[in-house]
Amino acid sequence: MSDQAHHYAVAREIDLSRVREICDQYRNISPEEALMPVFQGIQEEYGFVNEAACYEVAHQLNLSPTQVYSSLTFYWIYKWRPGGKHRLFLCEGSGCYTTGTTRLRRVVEERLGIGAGETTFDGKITFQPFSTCMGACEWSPLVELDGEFYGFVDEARMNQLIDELNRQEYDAADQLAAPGSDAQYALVAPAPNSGDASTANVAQISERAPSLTEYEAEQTAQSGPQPNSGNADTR
Amino acid sequence: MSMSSIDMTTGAERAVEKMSSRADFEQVAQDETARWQREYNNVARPTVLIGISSSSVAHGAWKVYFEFVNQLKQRGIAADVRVVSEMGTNWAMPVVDIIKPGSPRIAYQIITADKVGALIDRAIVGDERGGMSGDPVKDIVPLCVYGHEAWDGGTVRVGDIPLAKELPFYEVQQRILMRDFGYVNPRNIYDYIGRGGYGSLTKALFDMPPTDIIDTIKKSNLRGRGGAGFPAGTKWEGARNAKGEPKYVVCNAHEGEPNVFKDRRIMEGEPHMLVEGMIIEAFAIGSHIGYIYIGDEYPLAIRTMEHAVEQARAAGFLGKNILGSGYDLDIQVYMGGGAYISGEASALQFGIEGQRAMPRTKPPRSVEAGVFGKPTCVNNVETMMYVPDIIRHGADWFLALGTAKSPGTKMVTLMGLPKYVGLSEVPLGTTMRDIVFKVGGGIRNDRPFKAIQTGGTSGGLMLDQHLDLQLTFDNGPQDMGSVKGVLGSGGFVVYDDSVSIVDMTRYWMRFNRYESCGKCVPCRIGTKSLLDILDRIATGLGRVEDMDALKEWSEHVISMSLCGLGQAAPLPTLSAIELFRDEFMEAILNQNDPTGRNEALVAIQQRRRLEPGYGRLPQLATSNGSSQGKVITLTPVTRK
Repeated sequence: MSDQAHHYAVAREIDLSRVREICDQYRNISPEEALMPVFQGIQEEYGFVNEAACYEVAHQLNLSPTQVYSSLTFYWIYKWRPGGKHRLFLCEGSGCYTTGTTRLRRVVEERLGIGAGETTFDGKITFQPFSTCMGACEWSPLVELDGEFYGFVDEARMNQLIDELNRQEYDAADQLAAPGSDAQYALVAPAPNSGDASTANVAQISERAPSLTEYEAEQTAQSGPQPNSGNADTR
Repeated sequence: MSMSSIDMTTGAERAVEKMSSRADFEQVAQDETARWQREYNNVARPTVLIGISSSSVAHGAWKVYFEFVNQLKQRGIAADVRVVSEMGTNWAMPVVDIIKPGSPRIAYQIITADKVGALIDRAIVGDERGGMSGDPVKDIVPLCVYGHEAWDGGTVRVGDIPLAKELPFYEVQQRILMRDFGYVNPRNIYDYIGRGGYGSLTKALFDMPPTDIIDTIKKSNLRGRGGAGFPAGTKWEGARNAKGEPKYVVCNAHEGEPNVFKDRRIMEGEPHMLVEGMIIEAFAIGSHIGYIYIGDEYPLAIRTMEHAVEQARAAGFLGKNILGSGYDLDIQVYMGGGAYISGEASALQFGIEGQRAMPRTKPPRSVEAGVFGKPTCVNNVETMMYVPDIIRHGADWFLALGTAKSPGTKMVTLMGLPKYVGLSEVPLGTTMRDIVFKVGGGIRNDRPFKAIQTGGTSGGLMLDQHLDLQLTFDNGPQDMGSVKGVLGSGGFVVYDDSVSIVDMTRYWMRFNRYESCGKCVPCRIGTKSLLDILDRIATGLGRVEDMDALKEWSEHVISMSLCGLGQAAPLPTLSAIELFRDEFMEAILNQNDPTGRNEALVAIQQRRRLEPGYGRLPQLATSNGSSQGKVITLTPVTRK
């Protein structure tokens, strides 16, 4: 957990009073049962969990910190540091693997200098390969970047995606940077022979795809807020 | 979360009203059946149906939905856009279905957001002429014609568009669990009721004593769909007879394998059928608390499931005194932490208790001491889904499906390199050839078939000559079990000749090694050792005696591991070294990989062109593969 210390991302500190509030939502069930929902709540809000939160939750739920810590470290969904501004997921399910994700992983490792589950040290990009199938295997290999899915990704295409990220995140800094200044040491290595790589068909990365949330909002907008049906007490 | 349902006529939300007696329910069911018939069979205006699942969302289905809504509004066309569950035709996504008054339901394939305008011109403004080819609007290809009531009920032809049953993908399918996929809105409880949903629940609550329910399930020989194929009725009976209160019912919805997504799709597509099955099960074993344990990696499934449970609670199917029967039950959706091993029944209980989800030794079995030490009945999603239908139609109906020992159907996810990647449901007893070449449509780009990986991460490979074996849970001469094929959770990966088996074996072992919880030594160290050997072979450092070591160590890991993960982890390896011995020997002896997929071996071969003999290792054994080298031999342990 000491890796928190050298993390430079602009991230909110976990507010312990908010942690207490989250714990209070689960007073009606046993503390053991409440442990996972509490930490999922914390992670949903802050994007990560940390040691201080562990101690606070242990205190609130009257569990031993050892038990809390041991449970949390078992599950891979809990992140111990904030994720980057951009999330780059690489599907490594067996369908995608048969079409060659090993090369894509190496492209990312070489150009961004980060391995699986890591974030660039300026907190801009997180790379997460995972093996839970996204169910879009006929598009394999599949890459998800900030909620947008890209199918049939080969090395050139992966390079394009990283170029686009590079342009968004680092170009402005590069133009301002005087030779020899820190900004010259770009975090994203230039693509091998990327001189005239066409990026025309890469979608605007910052644009987020609509989701169930937008659908729910649309449905609510059509009908107006519904009065509660009065059955809440059956819970 | 609002406890309301989307009214299909107006698209607006509609509050769920509480039903407090059987008569209430039957009145609602009658009204909803009539409404459903009216709205589906005789649509008043053109209706666009868009299937939503995690797969179609990845293909941009929400974008297509909003594009339709916006374009129809802008152009002033009176039409409905509805969200439905998704048919499982992954290869054609995003699929858009259009029903016009007096016309059958036509599905169009690969309708991305930029084709929406053209599709409106062709099928809503104009009249579909039914051309599979040579149509004026480029890039829009119909997929098939579905029936109004059921996917295979289409009989009216439109031009040369095939009926659904004529597509190879649908030809051998028999959809029991998936019958409403593509028809109901998973977020609308009234759609499910209109299709006959929750009728079995009232039958079970009011007409059948719990022991009758258990007897029916036992007689139907419903076998657990999660992988092991354990008879569900026997498990229920054990849970009912177990001493201790309270009793828990747990739905194991935590599938974490890299090539299975059936449970996720069920929960995204037909959540109410699962809720209904779970209530019947809980009633039968006398439980009042239920958990649906879902892995955190399925956000859409979690939200859909939570919404469904809220709706069922609001409608009076959950809570105190369900429909006036005096029976109480509440169900919680419990989000797990995301670890493959959490799907093991005893590990899952620790997951719910907020501990590290590691399996424990059995006995006691979970029906005797499960969650918090109390009797717990854990069943897979698919198993619970069958319960309403078995109660409705009786055990004999179920026994007539599938084979004698493995009745019923099975949901299958086919992945890797077939033409039709997707989710299907076939009767048990279907041959593997039908699955690969009909449901899967053969191999993509018409390459040769190499092998099919069975049983998720934990089954053997099957070659072309094994494909006439049947898909069952058993080990008879006609069953896939006779060649180390495992039905498991129904995930299959098809390989063509471009796939290196050495590489894939390493992939499977790496997955199992990563997911091993580390509690028992044989699995923790065994998977690591096996992976070391496979890594060595794949990087050109293999030795001939490694083949014997792999076999022997695999057998030890299988016989000594605590839980199913370790017992199954070496199966793909064992099967691969038996069936593809030549490929392994080529990697070991010549550091060569004919498929060119092992990068280390390819690099050695390239270098060898300049420097003959580069990377050759002195071999300790003869080249025919018989070992004269040293193999560490352990005393075999036989498990009773």
